[in-house]
Amino acid sequence: MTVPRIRILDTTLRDGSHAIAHRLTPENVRHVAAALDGAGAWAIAVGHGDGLGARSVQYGFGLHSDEELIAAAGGVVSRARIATGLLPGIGTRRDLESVYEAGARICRVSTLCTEVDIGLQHLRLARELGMEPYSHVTMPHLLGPREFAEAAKLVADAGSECVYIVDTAGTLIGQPCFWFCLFFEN
Amino acid sequence: MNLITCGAQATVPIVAAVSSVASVAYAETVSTVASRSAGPGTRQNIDEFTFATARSLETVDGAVRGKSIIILNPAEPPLVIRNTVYVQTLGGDPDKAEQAIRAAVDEVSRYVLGYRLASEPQFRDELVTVFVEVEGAGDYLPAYAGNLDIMTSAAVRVAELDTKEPAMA
Repeated sequence: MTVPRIRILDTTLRDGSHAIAHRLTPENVRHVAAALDGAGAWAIAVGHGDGLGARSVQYGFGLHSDEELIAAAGGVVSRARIATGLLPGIGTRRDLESVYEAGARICRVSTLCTEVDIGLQHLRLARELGMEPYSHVTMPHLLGPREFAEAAKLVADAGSECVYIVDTAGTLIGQPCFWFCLFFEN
Repeated sequence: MNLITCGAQATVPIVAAVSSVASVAYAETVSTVASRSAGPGTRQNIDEFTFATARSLETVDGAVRGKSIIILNPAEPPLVIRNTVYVQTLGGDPDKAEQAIRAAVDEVSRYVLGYRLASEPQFRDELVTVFVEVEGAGDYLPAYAGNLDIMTSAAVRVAELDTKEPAMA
């Protein structure tokens, strides 16, 4: 029996920033990123909780730009890769190019599963830049396994290397989860 | 001739209204549209919507910086397009701003019949927040597709202004 390889992508420095109104400082980031790198995290997500371009009245301006925070993380890690998040409609290709310059090497494009086509241009750009493009696809219950698999195929064809099934509504327990897994295997 | 995005059609008049009575440091819009009313063109070029709408906010006299966000909402039944407009001012009188906003809404609603305030304008410190929605006429496209109707209505209005002749009823 082969042991599956598990990679940890830690989101403390991205998702965690919601709890403090996106007021992470470069110093906070250096401290946490260095510890995560030392603990063997494969990748570290860094930035505004709502992703690139989210510094706004709507989502909170926070204290520092994603570029500053990503550069701070990149400066202290020796092995871990730095990841950024992009919600199409909020973040844009310009934002992605800018954080690539700052050192981000994984791009997770997040959309509702019914709207994956709005993120294809960002997945393609991430690939062109030499980043690893991933899709973070939410609310799978809106579609069900078969249509979700079709949406996953669309992002995979655009270059996405990994499709997360992100159960943001908390519906995939028991049998629905089984069906999703089955459709993915096939 | 090109018409700017539906989000800009609905929000630039509000920013312009505020800027007529106060200095505008920053303008931001959040447009929420029904998934079903966003066609493949918008979906494959969502950044272009964002860029064009933000740039149009910056064309308003005195608006220094613009930002635009678009959200596609798949809720059923579909929702009418809703726009939140944030205007960061430098000083200015809230009463005058409110008058100017209401006048702008009246003006736009003359050529976009379903254009209206979704709630009262809000004033906090120097941040003005305005919610506008656009219900479509429901002639051919469904009523929730106000984002499409506003384009048609704006095109008719531009044509009228261009020809200086009233459109046929």
